[in-house]
Amino acid sequence: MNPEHLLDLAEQEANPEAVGAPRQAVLRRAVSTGYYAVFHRLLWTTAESFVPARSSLWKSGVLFYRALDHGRTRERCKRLGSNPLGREEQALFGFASFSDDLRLFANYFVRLQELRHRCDYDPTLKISKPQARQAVEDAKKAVSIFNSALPDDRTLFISYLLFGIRSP
Amino acid sequence: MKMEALSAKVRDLVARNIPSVHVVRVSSDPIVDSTGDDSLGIRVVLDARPADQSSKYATVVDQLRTWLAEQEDQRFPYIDFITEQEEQELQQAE
Repeated sequence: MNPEHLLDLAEQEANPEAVGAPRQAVLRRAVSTGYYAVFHRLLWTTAESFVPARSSLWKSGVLFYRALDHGRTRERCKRLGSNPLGREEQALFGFASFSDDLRLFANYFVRLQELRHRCDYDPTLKISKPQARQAVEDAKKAVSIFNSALPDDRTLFISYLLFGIRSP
Repeated sequence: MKMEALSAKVRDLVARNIPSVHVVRVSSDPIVDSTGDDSLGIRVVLDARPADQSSKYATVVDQLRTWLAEQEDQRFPYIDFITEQEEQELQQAE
């Protein structure tokens, strides 16, 4: 799943061509698609960070692509977006917080996943077209800042998403 | 953590980071998010929604998390930015 294509789709869903107020179902889909673009960006980067791009290793790439799940990724993004980091994380990483961009990314991820969850599962939720467009804009920004983060920082960030910190 | 103090901090951060908008109203409530974590639900009603402000909204969240950590409050702040006009339109939505 190409994250950039998902972002394009989310943009189309948030800006429907039909006349009149867009249906709630359409706006909810836009939010959901935007979130999935961010999630798939993470999955691609995870696979590309740990498996060399050689055809003979494609099965390993698929396993890494599938290694992150929504719930644990969100729980760990909550920790990585904190400034300062928790005591355990500071002791492991040797610094007080991730860069501004990666912190913003972590917080974008948490917020987008919560909104996506409400859009998909809360029948009472009403979302405005500008709110849906804002969510898509947030997804685009999240992907952009993640792409431009320093590779070593990004790899450390993803490693924590994958493994967290094991208790002794 | 008093909700009034939280709302005042949010107002301050929005004014500093997005000076082109006026904050009409801020409401804050303790909530439980979809993962079951205690969190903060914050609605910021603005007079307008300027384009291309995504990173500024995100910065408000980031700085609010830092402030909350200083208060030893680890709850995640879910901030919903909305305009007065959007609020009215949502009341009439399908």
